[in-house]
Amino acid sequence: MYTIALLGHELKKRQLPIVLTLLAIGALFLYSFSLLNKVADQAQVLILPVLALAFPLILWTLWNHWQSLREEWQERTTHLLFSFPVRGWQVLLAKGGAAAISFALFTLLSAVLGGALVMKVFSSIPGEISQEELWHFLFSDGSKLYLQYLLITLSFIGFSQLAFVLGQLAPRWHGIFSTGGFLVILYLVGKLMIWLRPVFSILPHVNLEFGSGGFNPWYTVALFLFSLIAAGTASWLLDQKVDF
Amino acid sequence: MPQFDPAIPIYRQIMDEISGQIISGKLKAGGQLPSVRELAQTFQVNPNTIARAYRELEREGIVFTRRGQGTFVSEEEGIFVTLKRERAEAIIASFFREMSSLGFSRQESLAWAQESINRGGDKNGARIGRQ
Amino acid sequence: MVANNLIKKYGHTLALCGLNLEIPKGKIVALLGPNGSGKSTLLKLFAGLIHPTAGEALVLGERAGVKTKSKVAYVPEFNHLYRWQTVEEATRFAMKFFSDLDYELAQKLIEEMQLEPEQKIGSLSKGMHARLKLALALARTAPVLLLDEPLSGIDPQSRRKILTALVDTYRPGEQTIILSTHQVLESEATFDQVLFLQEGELVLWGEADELRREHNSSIEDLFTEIYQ
Repeated sequence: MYTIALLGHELKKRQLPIVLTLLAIGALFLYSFSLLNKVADQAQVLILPVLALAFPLILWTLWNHWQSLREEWQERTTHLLFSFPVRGWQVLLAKGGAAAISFALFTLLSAVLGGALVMKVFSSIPGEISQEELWHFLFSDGSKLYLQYLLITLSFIGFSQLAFVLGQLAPRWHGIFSTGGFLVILYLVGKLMIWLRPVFSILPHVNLEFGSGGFNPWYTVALFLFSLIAAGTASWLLDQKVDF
Repeated sequence: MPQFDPAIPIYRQIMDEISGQIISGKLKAGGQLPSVRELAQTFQVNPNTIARAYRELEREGIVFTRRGQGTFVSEEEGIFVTLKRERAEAIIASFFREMSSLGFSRQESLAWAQESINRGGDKNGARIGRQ
Repeated sequence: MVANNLIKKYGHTLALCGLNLEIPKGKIVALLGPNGSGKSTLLKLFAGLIHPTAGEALVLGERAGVKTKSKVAYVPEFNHLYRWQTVEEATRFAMKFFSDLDYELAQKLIEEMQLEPEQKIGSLSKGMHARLKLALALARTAPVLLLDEPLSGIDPQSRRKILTALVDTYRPGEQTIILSTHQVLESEATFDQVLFLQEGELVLWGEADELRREHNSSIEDLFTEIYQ
């Protein structure tokens, strides 16, 4: 299967950065763990990992994914890649897939280490919650929130693929057209989301067990579906319109 | 490995090369010619050109092809005689052409040749000593 | 391979102006012309890497696209292999997409080209890179081979190796090779047919030996004469 071969290729190329990032995440948490006994308010220890990782990991993933596309054109390896009997969607799925897999690795490691850190922090606080209950909250609420986090990132991967390909359709200044394209896409998607708001509000919410809160998950689901359309459009353009 | 003159059809030059080898005895009557691929590799020439040369040689009756076995020099005695004569005629024509470019007519060229024979030298027309 | 009224525009520039030609199966065809005459454009159209503005480019009866790519081995003029791969990795990678790539033949050709499997492609000289990409193309039994300036800008030794390998692995009658080149003298003994392009149009074509006979000159001299 061509997509698997391409995916393997992408991951192999990114072996070193992925390992280094995982090590960096590990080091970050190691440092956080070491702070545990040195800080008065134990909960403060959680701030560092969250700040350092939650948003930056998305950016880091998107950046590397964008680079993986840009490099193909810059190094002209597109002449090899597209001399293969592969379709646009296979190439984009492989690149998006590699980005998703590396993102999953980074965030899952963070989640595991973060979860352990939270458990450690709260074990030292005498409170009404038992270890078991805490673990349960972390797991069920955590996975719901994680899914949202993942969908948002995957969506941006899809939008960036379309933005990149649109940039390639322009005769020059691909970077500027890509950025412009990206902004236009975000604007259009935003408009669509606003337009769909009444639909979303009717659909069932997701409940959070901790603190009996909740949120509407359908925005991110819609976002993800739109990004699939964007990636599909990008694939079609690669096959039918883009010259290499 | 002979270099081919790119200004002359290559298949013709290959035909001449093979004819030359037959006349000189390098290729014997009934002997097998190298395969098209071998010759193409030796001369660094397109195999289709070699194949064409072989086809033309076959048309002229100089070689023949046995299916699945290869191409062989004709066993007819008359072939050598014909080839030699054709080669001789080509050489003579070339001689007259070159002499003409020096300004000599055919009769004058013939006279030069005769004089060269009379002047001495062995029967191959080679000159002995300086003149 | 057929071009039907093939037109290719880049912005306002006309690279190919309504080209009509037919390339017969199983021959080595030379595509000659000065820079900008449309040779690379034509090869890329047959390779399916670019799309016609109008008209069509047919490979084995079909429009150039995903289906024809498995039957075409395209070798561009520049370095197009992944620099971070080794020679061995690049071979294995290509094999995943081209079922007609014979690993043993590739190994043999790579050895003949004096390359080592563990060399990083990024560390290869231009000549070595040229030999490698040709070896990978010749190790396939693709019915169509498209070579864009396989001899340009590389050392004489590499050029010799490339021409030798080309003649050695060429399958007459089965394999169609189209190659564009400026090194006409060196390679013209390998041509079956010649196509002369100028400014996106076909100005002369014919069988190599017939052209030699008709014009009483080598293809190289004919080249100089046409484009002076």
